[in-house]
Amino acid sequence: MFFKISLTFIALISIVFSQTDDEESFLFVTKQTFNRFIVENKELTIKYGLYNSGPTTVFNVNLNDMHSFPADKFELLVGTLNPKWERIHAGVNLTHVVVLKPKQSGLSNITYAIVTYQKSEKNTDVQRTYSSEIGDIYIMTSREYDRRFSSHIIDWILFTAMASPCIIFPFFLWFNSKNKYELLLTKDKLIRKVQ
Amino acid sequence: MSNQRTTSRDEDLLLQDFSRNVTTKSWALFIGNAAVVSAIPLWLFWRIHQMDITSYFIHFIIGTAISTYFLNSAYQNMKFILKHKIAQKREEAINREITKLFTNDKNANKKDKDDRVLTRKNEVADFEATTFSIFYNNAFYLVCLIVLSFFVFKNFSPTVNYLFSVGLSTAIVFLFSTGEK
Repeated sequence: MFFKISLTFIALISIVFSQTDDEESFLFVTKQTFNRFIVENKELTIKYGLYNSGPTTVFNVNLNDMHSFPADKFELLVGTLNPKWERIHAGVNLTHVVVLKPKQSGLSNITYAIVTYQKSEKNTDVQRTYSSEIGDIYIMTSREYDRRFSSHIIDWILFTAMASPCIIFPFFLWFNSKNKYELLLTKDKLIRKVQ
Repeated sequence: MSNQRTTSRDEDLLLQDFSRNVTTKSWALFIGNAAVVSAIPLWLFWRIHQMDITSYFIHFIIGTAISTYFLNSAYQNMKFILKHKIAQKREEAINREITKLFTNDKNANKKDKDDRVLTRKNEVADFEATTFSIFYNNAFYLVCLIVLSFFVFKNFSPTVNYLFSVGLSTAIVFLFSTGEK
């Protein structure tokens, strides 16, 4: 009997402990860009999304993404690459946006951001998690971007102004001569009919 | 003797009329026009396709030279084909024009009048064929070039785009000028 009771007690304790383990909060971190084309010397927007999946609050959340955007390749325009939050409550979504400007064109690897946090206020163990990564991106030259997407209205107007005399002037000369002789014929025919 | 000389002169005129060779004045007009029309698209490649003139200098020179040469040939071919068609069409009108001029001149004989008609017909046909050939080939070349460069080879590199669009449009214009009946 005592053995049975003690077994039940041990089982209960293990369930309670395993439940506490399950109830710990975890942060899910995403990292993405809003830009369809990433262009040299044009703004590049990066969005970080943090989601606290658990039932408890996490503390001292520290995101670090300085290594993805080295200062010699990217200029930071808006926001910080090393933000800190005191806490993120259970089930809360948090968004952080950074605007950068690529200084060089070519291929660049944008890797994950590192996020550290504490699972509770008392627990000083630092948890470490990684965001999703954007991966290899191609930074277009501004010249290539202009070539593909600018409207060039003024350039087209000037082209038309240059090209049209080459077409209109000979056409006008030919048309004038043609008209002159065709009119001569029709006039003569009309006169004959009248006579 | 005099009759023989006239015949020979007439034959010369006839030969000149039917030959593909153009006069120096006409040749200069053709080559000048071809050079201008070949050079105008460089603006598009420089400004819109962002091809730097200093870097693509050789491409531009070669492309312009080739298209100038073939456009010039296209003008000449088309002029040769058109000249006779136009001459036939204008014959009646020119005849009437010259007849009106000769109505007051009682001394003029039929031979003079016929010569005058022939010369005038030749002049008018030459002028109309030249202007129409320049107009048609210029328009055709520029349309071909724009379609090829901005639609067909749009996503190719600027160098490939330039060489292919200039080369192909020149070839199309040249082939059409030879194949027309």
